[in-house]
Amino acid sequence: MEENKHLLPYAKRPDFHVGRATELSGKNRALYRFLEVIPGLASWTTLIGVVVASLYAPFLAAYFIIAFAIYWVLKTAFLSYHLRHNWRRLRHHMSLNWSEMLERFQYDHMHHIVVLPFYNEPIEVARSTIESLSKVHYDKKKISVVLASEERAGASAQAIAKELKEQYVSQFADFLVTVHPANVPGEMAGKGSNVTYAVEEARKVILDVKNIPYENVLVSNFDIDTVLYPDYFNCLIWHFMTAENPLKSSYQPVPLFNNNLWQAGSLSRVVAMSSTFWEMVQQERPERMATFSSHSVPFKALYEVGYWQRNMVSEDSRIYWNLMMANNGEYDVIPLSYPVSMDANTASTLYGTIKNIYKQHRRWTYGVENFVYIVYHFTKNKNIPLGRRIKITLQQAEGYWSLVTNPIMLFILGWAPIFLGGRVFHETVLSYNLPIVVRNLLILAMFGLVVSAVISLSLIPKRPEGRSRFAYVVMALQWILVPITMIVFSSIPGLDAQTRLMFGRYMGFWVTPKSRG
Amino acid sequence: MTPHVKPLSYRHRYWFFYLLAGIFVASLPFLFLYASGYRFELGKSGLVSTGGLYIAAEKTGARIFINDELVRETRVFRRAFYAQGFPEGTHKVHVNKPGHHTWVKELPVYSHLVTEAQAFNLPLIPEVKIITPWRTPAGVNVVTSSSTLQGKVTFTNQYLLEPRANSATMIENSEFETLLELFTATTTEETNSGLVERMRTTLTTDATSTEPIATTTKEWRGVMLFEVGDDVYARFVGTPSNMPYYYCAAPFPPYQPTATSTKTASGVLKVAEAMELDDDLSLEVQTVDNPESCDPTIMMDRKGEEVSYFDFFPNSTDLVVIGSESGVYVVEIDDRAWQNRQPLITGEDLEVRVYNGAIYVFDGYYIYQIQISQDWL
Repeated sequence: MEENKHLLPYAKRPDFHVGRATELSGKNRALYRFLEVIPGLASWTTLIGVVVASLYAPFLAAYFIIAFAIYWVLKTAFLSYHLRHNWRRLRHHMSLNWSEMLERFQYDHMHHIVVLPFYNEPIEVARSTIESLSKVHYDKKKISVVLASEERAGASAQAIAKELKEQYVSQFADFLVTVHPANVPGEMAGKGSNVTYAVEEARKVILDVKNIPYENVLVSNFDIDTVLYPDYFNCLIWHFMTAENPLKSSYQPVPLFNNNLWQAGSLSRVVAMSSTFWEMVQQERPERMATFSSHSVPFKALYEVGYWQRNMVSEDSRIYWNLMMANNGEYDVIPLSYPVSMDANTASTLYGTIKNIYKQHRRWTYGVENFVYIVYHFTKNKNIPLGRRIKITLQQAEGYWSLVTNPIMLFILGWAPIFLGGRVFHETVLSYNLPIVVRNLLILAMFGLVVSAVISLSLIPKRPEGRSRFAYVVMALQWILVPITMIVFSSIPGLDAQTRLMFGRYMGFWVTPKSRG
Repeated sequence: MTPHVKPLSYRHRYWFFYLLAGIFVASLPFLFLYASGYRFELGKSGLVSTGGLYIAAEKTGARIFINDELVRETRVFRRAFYAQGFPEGTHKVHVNKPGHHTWVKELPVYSHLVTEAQAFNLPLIPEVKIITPWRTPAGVNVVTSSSTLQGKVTFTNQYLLEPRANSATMIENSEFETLLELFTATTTEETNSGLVERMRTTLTTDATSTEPIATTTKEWRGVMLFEVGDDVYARFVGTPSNMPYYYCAAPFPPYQPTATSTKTASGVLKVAEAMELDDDLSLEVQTVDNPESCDPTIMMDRKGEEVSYFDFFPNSTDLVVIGSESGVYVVEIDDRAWQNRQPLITGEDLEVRVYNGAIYVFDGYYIYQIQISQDWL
């Protein structure tokens, strides 16, 4: 019990860090298993339902599809409105002099731990991240770097860590290299278990040794390819200082997947930018937000919940739900609207790129395991207002459902009544008008892509020497790939992930390969 | 000092959300009604029910007219035209192309339904390849007398007129020998007892009671062609759900240009004319026929001529090649209003055969392969 005394009361529950149904027993296990089935069942029922309705009730299916196409157009407008506003805000935040803005605050007491989990990524990837860290407009003696390596990555990874430490140790307050042991019982090999081990090591070796109060520490958990913009920590501290509940908030930058955008192909660029845009949209509706990828969290908050979960895949967003549950709903995500640059997923061949993107997105969409966790704990934690529990449940359900079903319904099943509706339906005006109406609505929705194309051009890095200006034209036109990427890299991996969860074929952590061509 | 670009406020976001929700609610019935064929006519009867026409034509260069108004010139990827917003009634459609026969049809339009039709336009002067019994050692076809089709067709291959040709200087044309067998066979009739029996049991009483059942039968892709007495019939015998629209068409009144409304090329209904519909022209509300309940047999229009041969036009179950006293014709099975019949090649005593996707004509001297353009279908 002594070792758990720092945990918040709700975080002391044995099922607080549950990762899957098999870790529970009795009724809780049955409930959790039932919830694991729900997302996949809902998605499959919808998709099969559209096919069945097209066969047996084609008129009903046709009206539903028209209604759905209108909904899609309006949803596109709604999201584009948020995206455009966040773009303005992002550019504004990038133009601000954050050091000047911080002059009115006393923040010398604040300390930063930057955790960089890495596996076997090339040294140049890690080096560029640490190099950018060394160039931030912030007192580096207030920053401790923790290079979190994996024992299972072997001696080569340790050699990289050693080389980087030697190169940069003098520039920061500390440069700690941790080695996460392999095959720890109860852990899943992955980022969550690695960073949790690393931060606990940092607590013992840095914070406790230097007597740094936990409430004065911010932990930034950055993927190894995260290149920082100079004012990241100033921006972070400003938001921390002005937050209503600074220690009960996580801080989310905008991940721009643009480090290697000039080396990546069109497919890779569209998928990368789409992910960035989704996060930008979320930045304007923080009540629907969870942390994602690289983010910052107060150490005290982390310590009170036992850090990141070590037994599941989507630890980056799960930590928010852990914190939200443990704090009885009194926990927020504060959008920074300030970028960090990361790598677009790409490989040396088109097939390799497609495979990598698919696997990465399947891992991301496996975040549906959070829906199970949320609903399960909403049935347990009655201290969270019922209205909030219902609202969050519906928002999350809609999110995971629409992610999988919407593109397939719109671009594939939208035509099902025409092919399956039979003779009686086929000879009607409705049958002929269905593709025309849907097509015209989709063209209308394509204006959202124009917004995307314009914004994306403003976010790409400086054109390298030797690259033609014509590449900008390609980068604008590449957005016509969106209907394909939505199905191939959103719907299908999402359905794959939900189906695996539905049948209890739990996924492990897949490390996205990083390379810089 | 704070950033002056603030996050979107709840107020703004929810205002925008409710605005879009309002647009959704308002547009839903409008689009449902529009897609179903309803149109709003200001100051008249308000909401009116309309139907549509779908006309497929040649791939390129054909012009489609509805009620004498040009609505579409076909292109490679736009060979069909769908028009909607027509009040119920009979409408005239014609499709023409320079140098080709014109296809004309009157078609009924029913509320909320689309009437389909497949036009075809055969060339006024067909292109043929002449195949002669003899040829030169260099492979050139040799004719010993002028072709009976001279002036009626365009020859696509070279031939040599050599009245004194003889076997010493010429060689036999094996292609001619092979094709000649098509015409010299004693019968092309199919004597499949199963088919005959099926036909016997499926023909209506009216069609069969006074006429003997012939054994000449062709069947392809669910359509059977057969002869009863002097008449040729087409009957759909395939899966009912795949039955083409015209087999079960109900009778409808003829087109009357003065009373029938038109639809402009821009798609706007001419309201004034639409409202002047003659009562006699208005059709009862039509529902799609149950294919099980109608007799899908259509008699081919032979214009009173004796039919010497019939078969499907290559790659089509909508068109029939008919050899008769005055020439070879292509007739559409679709008998709504009338059957379009266009001459493929004219001339007396011509024999015709459809073989391996090609049409061959024999005038007693030479064989002609008619060049078929896939654009026609």
